[in-house]
Amino acid sequence: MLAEPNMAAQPATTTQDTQANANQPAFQREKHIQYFKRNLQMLPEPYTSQDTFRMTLGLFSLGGLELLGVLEESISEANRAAWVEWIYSQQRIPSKDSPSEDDDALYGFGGPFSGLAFQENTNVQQNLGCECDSHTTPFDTAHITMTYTALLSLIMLGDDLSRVAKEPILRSLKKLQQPNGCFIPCITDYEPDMRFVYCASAVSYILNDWSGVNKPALLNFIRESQTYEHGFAQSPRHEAHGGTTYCAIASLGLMGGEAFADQKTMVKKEDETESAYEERRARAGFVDLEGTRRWCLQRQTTGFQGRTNKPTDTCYSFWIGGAIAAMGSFDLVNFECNRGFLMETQHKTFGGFGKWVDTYPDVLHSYMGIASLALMGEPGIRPLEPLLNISKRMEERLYNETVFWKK
Amino acid sequence: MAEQDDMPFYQKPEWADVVPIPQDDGPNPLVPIAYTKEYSTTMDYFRAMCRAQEKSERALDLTKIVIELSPSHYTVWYYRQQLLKELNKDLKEELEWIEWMVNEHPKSYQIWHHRQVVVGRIAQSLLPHNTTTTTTTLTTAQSTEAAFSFDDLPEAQKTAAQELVKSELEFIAESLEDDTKNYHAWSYRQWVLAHFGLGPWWVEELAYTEELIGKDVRNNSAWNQRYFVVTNGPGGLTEEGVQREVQFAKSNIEKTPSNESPWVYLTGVLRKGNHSVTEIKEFCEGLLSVPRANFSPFVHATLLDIYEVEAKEKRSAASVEKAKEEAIMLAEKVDNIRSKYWNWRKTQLQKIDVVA
Repeated sequence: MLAEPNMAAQPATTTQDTQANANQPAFQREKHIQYFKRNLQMLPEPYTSQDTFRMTLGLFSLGGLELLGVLEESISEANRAAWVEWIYSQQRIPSKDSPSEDDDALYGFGGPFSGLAFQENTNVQQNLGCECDSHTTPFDTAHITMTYTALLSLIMLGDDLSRVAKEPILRSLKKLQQPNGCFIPCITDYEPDMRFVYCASAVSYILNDWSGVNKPALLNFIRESQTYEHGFAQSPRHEAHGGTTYCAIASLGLMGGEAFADQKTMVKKEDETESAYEERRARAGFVDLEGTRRWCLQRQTTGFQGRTNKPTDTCYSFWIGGAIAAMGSFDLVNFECNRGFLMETQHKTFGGFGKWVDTYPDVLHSYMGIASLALMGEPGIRPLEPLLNISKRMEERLYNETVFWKK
Repeated sequence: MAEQDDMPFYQKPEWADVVPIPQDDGPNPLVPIAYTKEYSTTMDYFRAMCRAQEKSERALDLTKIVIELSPSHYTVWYYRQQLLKELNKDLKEELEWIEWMVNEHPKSYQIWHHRQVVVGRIAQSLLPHNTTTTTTTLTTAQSTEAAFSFDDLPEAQKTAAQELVKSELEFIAESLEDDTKNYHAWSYRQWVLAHFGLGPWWVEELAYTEELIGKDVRNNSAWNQRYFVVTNGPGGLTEEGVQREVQFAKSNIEKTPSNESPWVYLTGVLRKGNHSVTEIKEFCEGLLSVPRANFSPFVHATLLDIYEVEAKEKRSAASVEKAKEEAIMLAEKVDNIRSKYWNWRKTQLQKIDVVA
């Protein structure tokens, strides 16, 4: 189970401020449900530019309905089963003709854009994934973000992950990790950064197996990426940013014991000098969590901004809010102002949320808006588990019903 | 031949031999996208090129078309990079196209990274005994590049390399004029400086950050870049550097006392230089009597930190009291959106072990 690290003894406070909420625009729950349902059926043409990231768009749409408490009732059994098959059809696994170690980087989940034949798996015992002629071409590669979002989408659709080829995924993670501890997402897109550190951590957590990750190197990268502002950047020395701060903190939380919980339990030994103690903490991957929390809280102006002196944006209510929740301090957030901002970024006609007031909605910001409200315990929204960014109900399903966790 | 230029490429005779590969989304896909016919047909041809791993001019042209339709496509850039190498294309021309693309899609990770690859290759070609491996193995990609060395370069190559860096810094600066906080532009700029790392560029960069901060003192990206320069430039952060930066931050705080950027820069530099935040106590207390500054949350937050440190170091009850006053000021007056945090800070002060 994910421990709830408690950075400070918080007095139990009620923070809903229901009186204040009454003065804000209403939460358009029904409109949002319709918004996600429409997108699940078909994404409009402007999403073409995100074609290769379709798996993530699927997760946001499913996740939105799940948090709104209407997932199962919104999806027919035929669709549910068909979408499970579609996801598994994106899985790349080794074929008997691809023993090369170089191929190891290619496994996990991707998208249909490279032209692989759709494989309907009629035999549940058979671990069927991609079986195509030019199996080792890098253009058919899996992508770490799609692997992460595919796994969560399968869980949402009630699958037990029994057809997930775990070992090839873990071998891929090994190949994707860089000497400095960071991860690239796939072999054809060399951009090492914190987002993929999070994807690698989430994948390892879901598969309940960290053997694909060099943890000390990962911890070191995270530590090096904390800036003088105490937030975390995409890479060392870049600017502290909300999205990558979430990725860093959530990765630490998912890694559990060594990295996160120990932050509060490690103490200086009697005969240890200050510098020796700092060195020991550094080896354990310590970061300044108190500073991180303060930086995160400082991002709230009404909703949250992603960087110092930037405008607020719906998604940072989740990225920053989620990081604060992961650190066990969410009740220090000003709920009234955060909620007020989010109510304004709802789209009055289409449902969903845009990034700012009076902007068109998109599935990412819409999901993030709902997830942010979930963190605040908004009525009509399921509680959220912030480290994996899924409902607590789905978290339970991971532990109790999927093959990598259930007893 | 305007009419012919309007014709989609796949209707032209030079593409007649290609058998397009359709996307097979199965009978009931998750979140299908309403592609235009142009897009799906273009991609059918692109799939065929990829499957055959064709190395040709027409494949190169097609990667450009796909990129312009779908800049975040995660395999097309790699294919293009392979083609540029195989076909021995003029990389300077490629830089011009990237410049155009950056203006169209300034927030695409892949475009900026592609520029880095191309610039890296141009620089590599200037080195003696060009030892780039001809085939990039799948597992190494373009990983941990060693910094570019100007040592032992013949004069002509040295000049060319310096010109390259200069023009890159100019290119990024131009791009930043449209969006002074573009994260990708700043990340790429840091790579250029770190990779080519000559002393004079670091000095100029310090001046550049000063210029940008002068134009917009709230540009946190410029402040972050300044921190990068003073701590990563040759010699790192010296004591002289600390004092200079402290002065720089203070003068900007005096201009905009409620601006977070110079405050967090100031405390960051002090920490990096192993100075205590208590050293700026006088400065902060002085601001309390300045009309605009006395309501700055950062004046009071920094004083809270200072008095808290003093309370712990001297075990002083008086310092605890002063710290509490600041916490109350923040929670109730100057930063009440964060009242819960400042009230928690107040409770932490009770735990400090003091002698009266």
